[in-house]
Amino acid sequence: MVPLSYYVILSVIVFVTGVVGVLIRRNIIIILLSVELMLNATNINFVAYSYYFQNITGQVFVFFALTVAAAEVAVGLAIIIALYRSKSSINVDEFQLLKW
Amino acid sequence: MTFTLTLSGADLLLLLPEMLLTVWLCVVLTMDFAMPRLPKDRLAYLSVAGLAGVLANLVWFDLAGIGGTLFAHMFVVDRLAVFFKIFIVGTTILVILASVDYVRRFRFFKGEYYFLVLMSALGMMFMASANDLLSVFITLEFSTFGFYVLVAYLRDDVASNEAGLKFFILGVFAAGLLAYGISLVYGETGKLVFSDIASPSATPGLVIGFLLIFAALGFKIGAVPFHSWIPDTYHGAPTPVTAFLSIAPKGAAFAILIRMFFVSLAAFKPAWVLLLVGASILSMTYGNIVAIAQRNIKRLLAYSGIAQIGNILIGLAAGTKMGGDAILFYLLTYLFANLGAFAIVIAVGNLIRSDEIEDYNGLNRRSPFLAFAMLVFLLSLAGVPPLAGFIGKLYIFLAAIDEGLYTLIAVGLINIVISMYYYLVVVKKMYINEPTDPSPLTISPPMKVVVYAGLAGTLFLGIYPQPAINWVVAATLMFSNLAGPAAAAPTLVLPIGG
Amino acid sequence: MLYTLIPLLPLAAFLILGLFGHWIKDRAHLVAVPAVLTSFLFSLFVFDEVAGGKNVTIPLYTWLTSGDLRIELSLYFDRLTAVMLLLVTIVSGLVHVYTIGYMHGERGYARFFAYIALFTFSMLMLVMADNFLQLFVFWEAVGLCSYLLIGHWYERQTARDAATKAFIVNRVGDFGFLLGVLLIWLSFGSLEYRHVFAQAADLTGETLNLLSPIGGTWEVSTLTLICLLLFLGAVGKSAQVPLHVWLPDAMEGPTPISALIHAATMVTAGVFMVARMAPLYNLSAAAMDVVAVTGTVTMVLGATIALTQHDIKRVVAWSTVSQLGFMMMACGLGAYVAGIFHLLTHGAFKALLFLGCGSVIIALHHEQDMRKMGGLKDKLPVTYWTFVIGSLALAGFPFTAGFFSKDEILVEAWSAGALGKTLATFALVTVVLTAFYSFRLVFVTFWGESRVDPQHAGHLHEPSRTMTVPLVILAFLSIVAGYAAIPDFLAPVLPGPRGLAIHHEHPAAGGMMAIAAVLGLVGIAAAYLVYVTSPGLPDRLARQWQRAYRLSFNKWYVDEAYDRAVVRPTVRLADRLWTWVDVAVIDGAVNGVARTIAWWGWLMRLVQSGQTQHYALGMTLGAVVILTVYLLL
Repeated sequence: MVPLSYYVILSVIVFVTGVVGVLIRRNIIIILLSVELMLNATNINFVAYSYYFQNITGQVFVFFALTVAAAEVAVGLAIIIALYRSKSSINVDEFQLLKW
Repeated sequence: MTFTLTLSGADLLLLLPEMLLTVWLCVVLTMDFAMPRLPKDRLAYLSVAGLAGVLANLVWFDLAGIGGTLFAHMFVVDRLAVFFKIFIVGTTILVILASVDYVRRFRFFKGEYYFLVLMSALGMMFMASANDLLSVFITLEFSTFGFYVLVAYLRDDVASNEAGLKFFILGVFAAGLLAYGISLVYGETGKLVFSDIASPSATPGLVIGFLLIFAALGFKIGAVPFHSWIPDTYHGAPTPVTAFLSIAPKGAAFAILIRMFFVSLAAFKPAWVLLLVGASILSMTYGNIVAIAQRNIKRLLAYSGIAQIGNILIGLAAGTKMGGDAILFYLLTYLFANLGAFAIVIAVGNLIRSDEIEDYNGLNRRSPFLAFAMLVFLLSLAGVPPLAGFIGKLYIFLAAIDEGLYTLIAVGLINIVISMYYYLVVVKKMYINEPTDPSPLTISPPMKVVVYAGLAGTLFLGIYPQPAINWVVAATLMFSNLAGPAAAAPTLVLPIGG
Repeated sequence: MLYTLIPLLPLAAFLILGLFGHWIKDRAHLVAVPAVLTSFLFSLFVFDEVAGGKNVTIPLYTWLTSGDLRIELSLYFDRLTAVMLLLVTIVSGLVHVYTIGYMHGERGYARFFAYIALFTFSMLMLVMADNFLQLFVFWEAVGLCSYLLIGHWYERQTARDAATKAFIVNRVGDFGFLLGVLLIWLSFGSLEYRHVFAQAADLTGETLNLLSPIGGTWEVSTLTLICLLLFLGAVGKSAQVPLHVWLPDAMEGPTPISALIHAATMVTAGVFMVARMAPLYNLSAAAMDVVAVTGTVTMVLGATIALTQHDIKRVVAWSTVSQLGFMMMACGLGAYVAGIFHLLTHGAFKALLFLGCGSVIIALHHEQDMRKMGGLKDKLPVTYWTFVIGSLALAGFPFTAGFFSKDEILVEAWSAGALGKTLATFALVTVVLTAFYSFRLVFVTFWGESRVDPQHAGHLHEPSRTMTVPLVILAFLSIVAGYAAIPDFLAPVLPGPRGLAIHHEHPAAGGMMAIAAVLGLVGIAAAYLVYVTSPGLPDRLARQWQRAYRLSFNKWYVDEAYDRAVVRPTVRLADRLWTWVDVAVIDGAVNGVARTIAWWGWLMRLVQSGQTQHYALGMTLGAVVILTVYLLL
């Protein structure tokens, strides 16, 4: 029997990895994947807590979170394609026309 | 564990406005596909007609006092929700009317534009009814997806693409924070419905969870320090989308914030007042000071919007029923003034293809009507009596003074003086400077409707605010048990609040 | 009904002109003038009713109610309101008539009338307010109208920022005013005058700790704080030091506006407000002293600066600053009645002077420099004679209106303790200065050789009848207003801190009257010596130097000594004051603060680097900081 805290620690590690990925990676697709990590950390939490509370709400949330993540990827890739067409690059630091 | 989904006719009635809108946006989309030769303007008017039906439906709800909850309290219809839905639908109608001219400039996907606007509106209507954290997460994302696409809608325009990219990355990042925050709150309480998670003790998990949720909602409303997407996104997005983005999602997010702070966290008021006071002071000051340095009218309005959000947060920080009233009323005044100002920006942008403040020189000579309307809207945003913005600010300040938030009020008043400066810079350019190109400007009928609506709202709410006040007071009746001035003796907030 | 129509008629005129102005065009005065004149007739009627001792409150509608908050829009009439109504409607009516001639054929004729009608409405509502919020709203509204009127009709290209400056400086004052109103709401739970005044005495002794947010202790009497915050609003509106900088710049606007808004009505709103709040001020000696001293400083500063200006409108503008300070000083010393009396007479003769300036300016095709005038008295006889009457009243020449009201203030001030005696001495000095600069204006503009641009010299003529008739009426009022028993009329509604003032029996009255009259004459005589005798002086001196023994030494010596000992130092001092105090310190401070804030704006916008990941980092750091604060606290 794995204690609850193990799951929570795992989820914290995955979440922080995701946040750091968003902050330091330049490639937009990697950033998108890092956000997926953040959402998956959430899912780990929800499943673990759901089991702990013996309460189905958490698992319901996981399903919705997966759906939202899929939709995010769809919209994100569309935007990335539009950007790639105009700049031939998907490095996030090359887009800084709008500032100040 | 077994699931039974039982929905009676009376339950379905509660969903009627959303169902109407869903059907209608399918109709709009189908007509766009099925009749390629149909002028796209027709789709705009068709959308407006559908929204008007939804609006009538909502008004009926409001008058008849229809309310209740659905789906195990995930979805609630009460007067607060109905208020925000009317707010959102009203904004959407005006935004669509203001878009007609602009959409003609698009080369592709003219019809889908209206579909996406309607879809975002639908998402925000659900936001207004969200009564637990799961529905908060889904509805927030639902409404934002439409906006991601709308912001990046000008496919050939680098600025629009870039605005879309920034909004998207930061938006999904905020969604990640939101989801994780919700998971922590769930971990501490095992529940997601707002009224159930009113926990008596503040554990670290709960604190972190709610702060992450606040960060995500703060992102949505653009409160400092979660504001950074606002200027760039507003700047790059198509102007009608900017107008939409600057008003409707703010209202929907405040619906959630009010429920979260006033229902779930009512017991922790002394603790969160500090957070809101801080966010409010930072937003007002940062927004107003940086607005002075702007040369693009859309960026100027973006920063002014950050400052306006700071003002609204004062009402949230007050944490009383009167504070709630003040938020709702302020949002109404903000709707008319800000939408009106953006309508002028759209109109002028359509005519001279520029959003630089320099190009507003001598607008009074070129179109006295546009210049006068802009003057009224900017002065209302600045809070000059007897316009709507003045009553909104006064209401918020009076709510805060009853709670003893003197520092916050003093900062707010100083900020009014600062904001006056950059609003007047625009006014001065319109009225006193000479135009470089003196040719007169004319605007289209739908645009005129929007500007007149903005003017009427701004003047009416300023001169005879009583009906609107009665409305917002009725909308927040469920919060009348919140701690009044007598009960508020929080020792925790003294460092800033006293 | 009649009462309600007084403000509603100008409002109706505004609405008609605002909505149908493009159609009415040159006939705009047919709408605006009758509206304001009817208001005037109704005001007369109200004056008659109120004089019978009856105070009337007419609720118009409930503006907003929510919980304990309840604000009504009402009209309140007592004797103070009645005299202010007369002043506003008379001056406004005459300015309306004058405008017909002045703005004839100009662009935006109808809009101009619309705005002055709106201004008249706002000003009337201001004086009839029965609660603080209404006062504040119309206080702002008159400022806004003034902004629109200056901003729309710049006569010259210079100082285009004047309108913006006026508005922002006023906002600084209004910031204090609104803070005062909020404090009243907090202390009294009501914003209505009658509730606040009735409970004011209960508040004496209560204090507020101003430094509590930063942990210090600085107990300040709540009443004093309220009075000072409200007074900050008056400082802005009535152009008192240090917020006076906007008024002279506002003279860039058309002259009828200067006469109506920047001389007779709007700028006196601050004085009116202090008098209206007399029940509050009387309870706070400290606040009154601040009012009195601020007024005195403004009075002296304005008068000295007026000595050296060359632009005729600026001379009159600085004189207005000075006179406003004089009224404020009176109010601060508890002589509200005298202050309001002077406000009324000043309204008449200052409007006259401005309109006179307007006639001169129109006749000279928008020339405002005195050095390019001179010898106009034969060309513009009506303007000249009315201008002289106005100047006599301003100088406090015996038996003009200004003489009586000035005297009233001086006597009251002299009897108001040690501070009063000191300030009254300053006031006496100012009397000399005032007489001097007002007659400098008369002599340089209307007497002596003509220095007019020869281009215009040929066809100088008196302006049209619509412009001269208001001058004559105002000149008449500048004399007879002094004989109306206004002090006795007002005394019951404006009790001073020591109860009702009974000025007539005061032993100093006769002496003060004589001294003031003599000092006024001295000032006029000095101006005569310097500006009428001296123009020939340089030539004569040149001759006289060669035949030193035969010259009439004495005369030369007197003139020169006078010049050396009095005129030059005064002029130099005035110049210094203007360049140092005004331009460097105050203007510098105002602009400096603005520039600093703008600079911060430019700096802080750099945070918005354009890099998406910086934004994400900012959000994360923000969240982390908040978390740390919450988890560690």
